[in-house]
Amino acid sequence: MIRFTNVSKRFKNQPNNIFENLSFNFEPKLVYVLRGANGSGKTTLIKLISSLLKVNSGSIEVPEKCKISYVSSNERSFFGRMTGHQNLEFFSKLDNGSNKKLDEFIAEYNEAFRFNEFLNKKFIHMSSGQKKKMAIARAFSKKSNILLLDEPFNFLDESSRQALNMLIKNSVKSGKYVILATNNHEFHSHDFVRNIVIRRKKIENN
Amino acid sequence: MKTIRRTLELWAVVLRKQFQIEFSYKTAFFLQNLSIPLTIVSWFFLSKLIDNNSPFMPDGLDYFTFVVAGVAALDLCVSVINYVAGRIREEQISGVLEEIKITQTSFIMYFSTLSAYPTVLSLIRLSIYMVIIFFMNQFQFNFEILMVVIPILALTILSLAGFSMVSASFILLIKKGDYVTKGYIMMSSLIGGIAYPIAVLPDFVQFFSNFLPVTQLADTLRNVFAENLSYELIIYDIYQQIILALIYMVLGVIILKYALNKTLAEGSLTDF
Repeated sequence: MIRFTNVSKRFKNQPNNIFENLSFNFEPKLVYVLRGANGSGKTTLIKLISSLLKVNSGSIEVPEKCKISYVSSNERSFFGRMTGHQNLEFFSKLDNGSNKKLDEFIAEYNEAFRFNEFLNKKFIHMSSGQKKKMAIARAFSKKSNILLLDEPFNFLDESSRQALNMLIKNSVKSGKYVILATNNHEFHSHDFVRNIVIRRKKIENN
Repeated sequence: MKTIRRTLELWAVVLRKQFQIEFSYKTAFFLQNLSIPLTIVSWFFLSKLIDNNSPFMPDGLDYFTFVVAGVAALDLCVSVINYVAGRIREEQISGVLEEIKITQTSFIMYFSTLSAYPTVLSLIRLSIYMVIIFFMNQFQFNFEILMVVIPILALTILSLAGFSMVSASFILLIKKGDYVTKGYIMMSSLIGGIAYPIAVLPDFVQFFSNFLPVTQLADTLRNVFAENLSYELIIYDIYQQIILALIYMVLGVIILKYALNKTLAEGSLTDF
């Protein structure tokens, strides 16, 4: 279980806390869809779980030895002068991954995401949708237990959205934690979905 | 054993990544060593103006060899620090640093591997300088020289990797400006004993010179070309480089940890 206990977070030079005494538990085998107004703290919450941010007070417990996959909302989180494949290989190696696993993933989802159209292109020359697919490939080709997805559907075409839906559902089935920040309604009414709204520095179950 | 294997593997992965990036700028990649002959030619003519019999000059060394060995040492020390600082800044701006933080590779490990590429490149440049001095002065090469230079170079590289972490930490904290790298380059050029021996400097300045990796490296390279290799001096240089490597590595890790904690608490890891 990912457990938030009385978490408060405030950014430097900002007068107010973005979260105040937030307590919440995230369970595996469910998709938590974080919703909320712009600036309500969806990305901050994801970054707190991923340890890209530290809490000001309170604590966040993440199960031991959990590996995290993260699809960031930042489009430029790759090396621009390297090709798509070189980038994915590099990040896979930093995660102790193997080229074989990466290539297997690419082959399996090539039809849906059309990887062969852009993996040999330099990252700077890719379209926004292709950059998003790169982030998805990096996150899902990694053997992880926690999936953090920040606006993963942005810029994707229909077939890629469906493939991403399938990837998320498979992750849930295999027992992963899935936390998704989006205001889209892709996962509205499934029994494995928990819609939660971030409002007034707290989480509200919807 | 597993850690050593993983470290070497990471060095290779980061080295490959940097090569892929640098090689994508083909013109710059192939022209990057063009400055070496031009630098050497300028110093060759300038050295004609300098008295080789100055009491400050080491025994058996002419000014041209003295200064080119110094420039070669400075080139290595400056290139490594400058390159690492530049990469950290780029990765901070692009947001790649956040993605690296998510991986199983620790930041300390990743930052230390960033010096792999400039080290290889600088060693090639250093070899070019050395070969040119050998040819111009018709020195006899022997393997004894290599046995002297290799440990000093290895220790210098460790010091530079440590200092790179200090420099990277300041980039994480203060973002633009990179005053630590600039200050280091300025001090190395000014009091590192590059164009003049540190013996001409006031005593208290000489004390600070000894904390610069470039001072010992330049000393060693010059010693190689001196008429008689002074083993006493070489052992002294090795001791000093061991101490410097320890100081810079420990300092680098401590300051980098502090910078990471602070930027993660503030949420400013990829602010720029």
